[in-house]
Amino acid sequence: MKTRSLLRFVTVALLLAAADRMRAQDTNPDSKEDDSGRPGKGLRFVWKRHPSIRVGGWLRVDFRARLQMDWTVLNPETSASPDIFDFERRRFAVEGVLFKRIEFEISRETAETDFPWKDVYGNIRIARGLQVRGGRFRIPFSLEQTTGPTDLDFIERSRIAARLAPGRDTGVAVHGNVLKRGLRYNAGVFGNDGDIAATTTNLRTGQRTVAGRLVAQPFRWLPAPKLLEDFSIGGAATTSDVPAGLYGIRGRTAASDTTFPAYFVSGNRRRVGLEMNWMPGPFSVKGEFIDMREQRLKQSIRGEDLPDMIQRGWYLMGTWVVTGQRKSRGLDRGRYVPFIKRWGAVELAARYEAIRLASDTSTGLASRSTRAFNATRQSDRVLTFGVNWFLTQWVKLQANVLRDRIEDSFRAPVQGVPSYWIYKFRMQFTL
Amino acid sequence: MRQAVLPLAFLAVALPSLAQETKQTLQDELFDEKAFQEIRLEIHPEDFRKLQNNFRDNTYYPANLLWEKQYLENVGIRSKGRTSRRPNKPGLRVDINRYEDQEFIGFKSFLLDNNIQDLSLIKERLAMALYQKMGLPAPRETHGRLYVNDAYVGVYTITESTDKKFLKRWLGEDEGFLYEWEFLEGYRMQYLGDNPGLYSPSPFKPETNELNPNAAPLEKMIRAINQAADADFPKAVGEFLDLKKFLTGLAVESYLAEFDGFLSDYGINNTYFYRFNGKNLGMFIAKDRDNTFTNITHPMFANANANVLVKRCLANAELREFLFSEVMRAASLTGGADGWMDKEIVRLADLLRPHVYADTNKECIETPCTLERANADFENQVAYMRELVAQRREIVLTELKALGYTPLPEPATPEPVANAVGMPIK
Repeated sequence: MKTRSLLRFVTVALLLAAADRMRAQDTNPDSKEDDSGRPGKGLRFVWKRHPSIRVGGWLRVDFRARLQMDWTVLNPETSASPDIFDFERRRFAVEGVLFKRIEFEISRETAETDFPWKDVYGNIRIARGLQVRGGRFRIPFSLEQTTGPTDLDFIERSRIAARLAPGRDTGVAVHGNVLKRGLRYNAGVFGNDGDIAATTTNLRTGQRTVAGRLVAQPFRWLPAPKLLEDFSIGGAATTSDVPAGLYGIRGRTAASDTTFPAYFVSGNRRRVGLEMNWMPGPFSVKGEFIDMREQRLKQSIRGEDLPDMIQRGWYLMGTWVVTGQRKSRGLDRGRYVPFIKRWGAVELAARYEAIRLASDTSTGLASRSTRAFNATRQSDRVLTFGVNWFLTQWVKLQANVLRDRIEDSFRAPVQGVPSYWIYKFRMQFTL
Repeated sequence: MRQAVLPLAFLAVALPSLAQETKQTLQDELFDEKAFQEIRLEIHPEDFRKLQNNFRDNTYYPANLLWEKQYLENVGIRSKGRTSRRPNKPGLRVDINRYEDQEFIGFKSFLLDNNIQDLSLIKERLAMALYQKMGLPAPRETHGRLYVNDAYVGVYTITESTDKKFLKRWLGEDEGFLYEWEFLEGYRMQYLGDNPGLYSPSPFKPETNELNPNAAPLEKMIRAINQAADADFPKAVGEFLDLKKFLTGLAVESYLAEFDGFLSDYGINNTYFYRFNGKNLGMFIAKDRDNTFTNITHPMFANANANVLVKRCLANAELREFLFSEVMRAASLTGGADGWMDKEIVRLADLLRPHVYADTNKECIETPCTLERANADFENQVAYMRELVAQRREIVLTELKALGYTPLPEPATPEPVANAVGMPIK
C-alpha cells in the first residue's frame, strides 16, 4: 500500500515538473499561435494550455486530461469512509471545432465504472443566440452542477447540486446568449432525468425529461456600477415521470454515506431551482436554492396515495482571492502576483448549506418507512472552509474542512452520532 | 404545589412499571402454550411479490402488523433463513423498530419460522422447551396462522429474537457481546491464527457492539480450546466458555438427534455466542432447532472427533462424565412413551392439525407434493417423533455405556428449572 502511494506521489511530482516546464514554454515570446487557432495554415501541432491539432482554420482538435487526487480523513470514521488516498478523477477528453460552427466533445472517466462516458455531444452554432446541442451532456439545471469539476470552488459540490440536480443524460437542447449576452437560455428534452437520479444499480429512474434554464445578467442592460456587471440570477426547472418503485433519490453526506435511503415513488418528479452569482473583483458570492418534489401515487402499504416527498435545500458561499486577481477572469492562468512572483493565486472560501427531506405532511406518526405517510424528517447541514491554491494554469491544490450535522442521528453514518468532521485535500492537474 | 408533587412522583414511578407489566401480560398471552395465534401482515402487493421473487435477498419491506388488538404500522419484514428460504412460504424476520422507535408488546423484533424443513412443524418448539427445562436460555415459541393481505400463507412458528431483550430476560444483562454463528463449511473450532479478524465477523458475526466487536477474547478462547494442555483444559477454556452450560446444550441437541447443530456433518451451525459484559467468559445459545428428531438411532456424538471443542471435552474424564449425566437428565425430562415430550407432541399436533391441513404451502418428502401427501407426511412425522421419544433413551443409554458411562439411580421427579414460558425459576 505504501509503495503504491509512493508511486502515485512520484507520478504527481513528475506531472508537476512537466507542467512547470510547459508553463515555461507557454511564456515563450516566439509563440505565434493563440488559443483560437490563428493564424497558422495546414496541419500543425500546437501545445498551449493543452495539446492541439489544427488544420487550417477549419479544424481544431484539443486533447484534454483532468486528474484529481484526493486525501480524505473522516472523524469519526463511517462505513463509507474512503481510503485515505483516492484517484478521484482520471478523465481524458477530445474537444474540437469544425468549420468554426460545429463543436464536439468526447470525454471518458477512467476512474469511474458507473457512468464512464461523460460528455459526448455535438453542438451546432447557428448564431450566438441560437445553438443546438445533441448527445450526452449536462441537463441544464443548477449553477454548480453545470460547472465542471475542475472549476469548483470546493472539493465537493454542495449537497443540493450533488444530489438534487439531475446531472448528465442523453438528449437535445437549444441554447444561446441573447440581449447583449445578458440573457442565456437553455432548454432541452432528455431520455431520462440524469445519472444522479439513477439507482445504486445504475438504473435510470426518471423517464423522458424536459428541462429549461434561464440566466440573466440584468446589469448588462441596466445602468449600474461596473462592479455589478457580472451579477447574474437565474432559474431552472425539470419535469419527468417516474415509474413505481424504490426510486426516490436518497440523501447522502459529502462523504457519500446514506442519510436518507431510497423510498417508494410513482408519478411526477419536478425540480425547481434558483441561483445567483456575483464576482466583484477578487470576491465572489454564489447561492442556490433547489426544491424537488416527487409524487407517491398508490404507494402506501395499502396501495393508497401518499403525500409527495419533498427534498429542498440551499447554499450560500463566498470566496476571496487574497492574492488580488479578479475572480471573473479565472484564476487558473497562474499569473504573476506582485511581490510574490510565481506563487499563483490563493483563494479562501466558505460555504454554508442545508438540505432537508420530508413528506408534504406532518400529520400522523412520523416513520422512516419507505412507504411512510408522514416520513420522518431528515436534514443535513454542512459548513465548509477551504483554501484553493492555483499554482500554475495546470495545477491547483485544494484543502477543505467540513463540519457535517445530521438531524436524525438514527440514520447518521454512525448511528447516534449526529456530527462529524471531514478533512479533504486535493491535488488537481488539468491539461 | 407540594400537594401535586407527590401524586406526580407516584405516577412517574408507577406508570413505567404498569406499562412493563402490561407488556409482560401480553407476552404471556402470545406465548400461552395452549393458544394458537393469528398474525396478519399488510404489505404493498408489489413488495410482497418482490419479497417472494427475491426470497434469497435480505431486503426489508414496510408492513403493518396485527395481532389481537395490537396494530403497528411500518414494521420492517424480510425473508430469513439459510436453506429454509422459500418464495411461497417465506420465513420472515419482523423488525418492529426498523423504521421507527417502537416496540411490539416489549419486543423489538421477532421471527416467523416457516417450518419448511420440519414436516411436523413442531420440532423446534419442543426442542427449545427442553433447553428451557434444562435451565438454558432459549427463545419462547408459539404457533400461529399467518395471513398476508388477508390471504392465508400457512402455519408458522412465532419465535422471539435472540437479542438484547432476550439476554436481559435470561441473563439479567445485555451490555455484553452477542455473536450469531455464521456457517463456515467445515469449520469446527480449529485455531486459525492469532489475528482476531479470523474469527469475527465470520464465523462470529457481531449482533451487538457491531462497531467494536472485540474479537480478541474469541481468538484466545479458540487458542485455549486447541492448545491448552489436557490437564489444564477445563480451567484454560473455562475462562472463556461456560463449559457446563455448553455441555448441557450439547446434551440436549444430541439427545434430540439434531442434524444441523454443533455436531452437524458440515461444520458448526445454528448457534449464538454471548460474552458477558466486562468478562472473558461467554456461553453458546441454541438457535433454529427444526432439524431435531431426525433419526432414532442418530449417533450421540457424530463428528465429535472432528470438532476440537467436543473432542477435547470428551477426552476429559470429569467433563465427559458431566456431559453423560446431562444427557441422562435430558432423557429424564423428556420422558419416554407417555412422558412429558410425548404428551407435548400429541397436544401440539392436535392444536395445529386443522390449520396444518389447510396450509397448502407446506412441503412433502417426495414430489410432486399434494396437500394429501403433505398432510400424511405431517401425521407420519408426528408418529415418528413419538417413536423416537419412546425409544431414544434406551438407544442413547446403550451408546453411553459403550463409552464407559455408569448411570446413577434416577431421582423420582426431576427438579424443574424453568416454567412453561421459559422464565427461569428463582
